[in-house]
Amino acid sequence: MTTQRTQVAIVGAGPAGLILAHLLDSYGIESIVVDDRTRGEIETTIRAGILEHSTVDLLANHVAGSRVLTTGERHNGVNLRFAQENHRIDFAALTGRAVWLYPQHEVLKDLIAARLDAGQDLRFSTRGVRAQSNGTGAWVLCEDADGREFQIDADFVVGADGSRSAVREAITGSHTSGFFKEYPFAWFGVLCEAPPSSHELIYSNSDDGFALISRRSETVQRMYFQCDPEDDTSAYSEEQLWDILQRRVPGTELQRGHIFQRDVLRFRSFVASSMHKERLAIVGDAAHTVPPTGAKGMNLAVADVVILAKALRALLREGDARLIDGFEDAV
Amino acid sequence: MLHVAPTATDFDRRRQLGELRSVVESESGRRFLAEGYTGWPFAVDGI
Repeated sequence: MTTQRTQVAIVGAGPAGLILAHLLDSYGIESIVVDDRTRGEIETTIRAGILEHSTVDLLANHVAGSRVLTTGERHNGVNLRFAQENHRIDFAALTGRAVWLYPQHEVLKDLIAARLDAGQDLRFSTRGVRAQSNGTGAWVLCEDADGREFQIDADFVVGADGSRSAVREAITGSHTSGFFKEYPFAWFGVLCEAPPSSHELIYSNSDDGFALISRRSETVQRMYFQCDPEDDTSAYSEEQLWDILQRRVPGTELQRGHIFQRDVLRFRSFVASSMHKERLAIVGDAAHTVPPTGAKGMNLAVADVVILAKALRALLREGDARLIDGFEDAV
Repeated sequence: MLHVAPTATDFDRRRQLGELRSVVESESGRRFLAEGYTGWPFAVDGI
């Protein structure tokens, strides 16, 4: 077994792990990032697409080559629709801020390219991760793509490895230790080949239930409607799906097209019972999972790592543990 | 806020619509929604 040494080992090459690695590098702290997925899987899995103002500021100003401002779409408002009325929430007028539509997998392409272009350590297809801490250091044991076991010794290990986090168990003592809520409804999501039905997002309440008209690009659209968590995605024809969506969004004629992906997103909230122990911490979905309603998952993860990066800078460069000791409260 | 609970009664629906109106017809309510949606600011320092 080979052993390597770094200052921070990061498990998970999603937005939280990669942005943390980037921030740490800017603070002069080296890291190794591992992920059990291939680069192709990470860069093609379609997830959320709404970035908050501060997330965009961070990507645009601090990540070399980020395309968020050139490829992303600024949205200055959204529409709330109920009782046959449309109410536009004007972000720009109310707050001076906005959100950007820029899909998560595009964010990840930028972050991966920036890290690899800078010659920094990022390892895909790394499986069987186990993490431990002894109070003054921590380590990660895992297998590379060829099944060879290796160990990363680090001053600190961060789990940014999603809702099924392997690092969380090392902190909380149990994979499920925390606070959990499951909602009695879910979202039926579709991806379709069609022009946009609305420039800005529509969140619609109707007697038939909720629907969200979102977008991905000029030719691909994302739409959701409230459904039963046990709904079978294959139980509906495309025409039935369009009819359900249309009934729930009165006042807008939906632009129909081929539905090429459909899924049921269950609504679950989870907060881990602890997010930090000794030289281990978890961030993003590993620490707290939220339903997709407010497009908050990635943005909360980014807020986490901004706080954690400052705490690790204080700990590893100045020997000051006060911020990391207060990390859980700050998050 | 916009979802309809599977067990919602007519009264629940009318109450929900009243609550939605109280938010969107108030500037404070709209601002609260806008602040939550666009996110509370965080600063990246030291770079």
